[in-house]
Amino acid sequence: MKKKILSFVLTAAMAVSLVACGSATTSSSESDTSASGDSASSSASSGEILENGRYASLTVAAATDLGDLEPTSVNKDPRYYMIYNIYETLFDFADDSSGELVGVMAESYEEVSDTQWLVTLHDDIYDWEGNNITSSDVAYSFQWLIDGGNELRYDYFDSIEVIDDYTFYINWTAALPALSEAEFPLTRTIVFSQAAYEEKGNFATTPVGTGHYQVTEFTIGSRVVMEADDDWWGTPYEDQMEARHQANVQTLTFETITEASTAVVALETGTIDVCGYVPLSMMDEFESGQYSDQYSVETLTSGDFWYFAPNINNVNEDLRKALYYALDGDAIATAMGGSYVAMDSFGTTYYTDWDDSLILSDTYVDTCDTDTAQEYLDTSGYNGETLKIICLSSEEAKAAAQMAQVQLQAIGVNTEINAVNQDTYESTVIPSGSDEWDIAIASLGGSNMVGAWHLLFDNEVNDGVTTTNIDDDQLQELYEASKADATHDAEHMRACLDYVIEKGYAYPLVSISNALVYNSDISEIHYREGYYYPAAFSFSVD
Amino acid sequence: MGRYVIKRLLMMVVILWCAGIVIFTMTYLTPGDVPRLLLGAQASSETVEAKRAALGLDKSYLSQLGTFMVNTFVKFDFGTSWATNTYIVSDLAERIPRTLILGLSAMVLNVVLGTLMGIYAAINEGKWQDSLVMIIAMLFVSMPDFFIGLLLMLLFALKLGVLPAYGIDSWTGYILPILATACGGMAVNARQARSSMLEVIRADFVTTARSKGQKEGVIIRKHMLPNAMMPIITGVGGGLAVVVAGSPVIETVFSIPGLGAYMLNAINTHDYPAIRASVVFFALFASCAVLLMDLCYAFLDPRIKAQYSKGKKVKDK
Repeated sequence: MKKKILSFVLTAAMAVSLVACGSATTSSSESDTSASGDSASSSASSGEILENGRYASLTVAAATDLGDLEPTSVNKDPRYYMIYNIYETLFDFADDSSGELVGVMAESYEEVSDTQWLVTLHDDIYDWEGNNITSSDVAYSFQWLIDGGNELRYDYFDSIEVIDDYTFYINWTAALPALSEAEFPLTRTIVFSQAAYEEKGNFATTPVGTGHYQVTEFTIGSRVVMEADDDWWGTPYEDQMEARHQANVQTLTFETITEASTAVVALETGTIDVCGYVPLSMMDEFESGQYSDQYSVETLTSGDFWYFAPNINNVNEDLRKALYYALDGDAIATAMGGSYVAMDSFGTTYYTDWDDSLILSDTYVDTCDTDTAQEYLDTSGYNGETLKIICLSSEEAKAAAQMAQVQLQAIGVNTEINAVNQDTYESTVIPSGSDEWDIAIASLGGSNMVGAWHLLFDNEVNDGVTTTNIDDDQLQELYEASKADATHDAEHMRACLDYVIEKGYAYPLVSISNALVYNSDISEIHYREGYYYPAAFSFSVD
Repeated sequence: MGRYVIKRLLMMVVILWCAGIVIFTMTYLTPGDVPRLLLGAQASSETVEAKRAALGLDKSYLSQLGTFMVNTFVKFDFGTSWATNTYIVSDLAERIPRTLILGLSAMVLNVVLGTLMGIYAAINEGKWQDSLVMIIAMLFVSMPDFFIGLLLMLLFALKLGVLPAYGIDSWTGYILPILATACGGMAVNARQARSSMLEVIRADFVTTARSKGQKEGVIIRKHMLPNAMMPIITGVGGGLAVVVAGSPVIETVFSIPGLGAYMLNAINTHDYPAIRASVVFFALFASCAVLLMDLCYAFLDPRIKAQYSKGKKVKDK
């Protein structure tokens, strides 16, 4: 009897192991009806277009805990695309990258003087509880943000001066050099009802917004469910607003799933519809594997990228180019992890001002050639001294530095790595004229390429020199031409980059890419500033 | 016995105070400019300084420590989260039950099953049953809980489709995380129980009981098990604290918004009030678990109970 029991147990264990570890052969229909049954409230798309034209239900995976729904959250990147569904701002920048302001809560604005704008609000803005939004609410919202110490990039903002219920002045401290300098006050500062806020105490868990979606369920750390509001105040103005204000989904759910492998299983079981952080290494099964009929895939590139920049005071031009030609971006990206890819310019398709003409072909950026590196090294006067690489103490940074160290060793350049925390890095690298480091490996980011170049190419950042001690009037002139509203175009940006390459001022290492996997009912993804806005997706259901 | 409990409770207060001071000092000494990290690289230095003042970080160490200790241990107020602006007490109240459900269920499972497996292996020492149990224990103890969790997820959520892969929509959402958490402890308890049972299995009092003709079941239940349980209980006490403190990994894998995930998120965002509150709770829970364990000792071991009784009689005299 005991032997029979043993045989049965062993057979069962073997069967379970085989099922768990065997190749995936589950059919699509099996996946659709699987685990979602037990988690009905988090079930994925219904695959149905409702009578009001909206897609019935869409579930999106969120890599980070939403934490709270306070109207400051726009300053925290991962929440960006969720928060804007429930709150509104005065203006938007136009989607066409023209840099023009488009009214949202503001009906119009007039530049009374260089330092004063007259803004008129729509008179029919109501929040979910029926409070009419007036000029005094605008003043309250701005002051609330300032009082909480969350007024980012308010350098030019001075005050709001209420004239009447629907008109007010925005006073600037000085003439705006470019509209982008007013980005945060105008397009990121959320306006809400003072009465509602004072009644609730805070909006962290019980927000009262003016957005196209109302929050119907919020479990901190787990889920936020939003329902499209058929009586949204903005409906009459919707065709004048940018696409992100659309509500093409009736019930929009954001599920916090921090672990990428769990999100992949959730996609496979059909419990979520959209996930923007599937590692590239797992992309194949959705792109060409067994789930390719259920999902579509796009590659998402982040706005952050890593660079390798020598200290211009310590490393001459020939030595810099020797270092660059010795570097293999692909190998460094591989060492850093599955989501990193080598770059072909000082920017990526993420940026609003990206243009394919900015790809730096046939330069040291896309060429790893130890012979050329050796030639530059021979003429550089390098005599074997040890160069000090400074980087942050994160695993990615250390991996990049270690791989670069190996590659530089191959041409006979000795290096030592100093991995430090953020404070030490800044206090070592940023001081003007600092010679305590020879090579910096770090990351930067921004919403447009020229903005991201600020730390690398702008000598205003550090008492007349860049963070890598470049003191070059010609570079500054080219950088400023690229940045100015009138000449912010691919031609001027390319001219700036060509000069950087000619002088060998820096080397773009890697950017972060992930796969955006979404269900095949979605016919078009709406992006804005590198974020996808699920509410504004287009759908096509057979 | 009452005096003992009161003494232990007073010691718990001291332990909690010490834990509070240690975690405060550790977070105080942690490098990094918190207001800058909270506001991001684009914030102006004036904004950063205003935030620093608003958070009270411009005050001296002793001033900050005093405020923290008074608020935490006198007013029982952990303040608001720096990252989310929510009341930490509310956050904890919402999350602790989920962590306790996960941790305590896993603990019960691993103690009951682990002990039974160990007893079964011990009374079949050297036979195939013993080998089978020890192989299973070895497998479980060798695999990290997150790995077991992912395997369970693949099997029960993806292949069989009978349980959800993540979340807490219903009680079924807890099954896989509980199993994943329990496996490691189950293996440790099985090995511990086997070892303890083997120690008493040949003891004189067991031989005496057998010679008196008692049934094997009675011998195991009444003579062997109580004597073998002491080291198991010691393990359970420590294990209980570890189960709760060790929840971040499983909570992250299964997307359970519990205390572990909360603390992990707080560490990532330098949300010091949330970190400190979590650590104080862990210290409180661990102290309670150890106290409970000591009381179980007294209950199970007549010698310990007699020690306290004797002390009382002496005093009575």
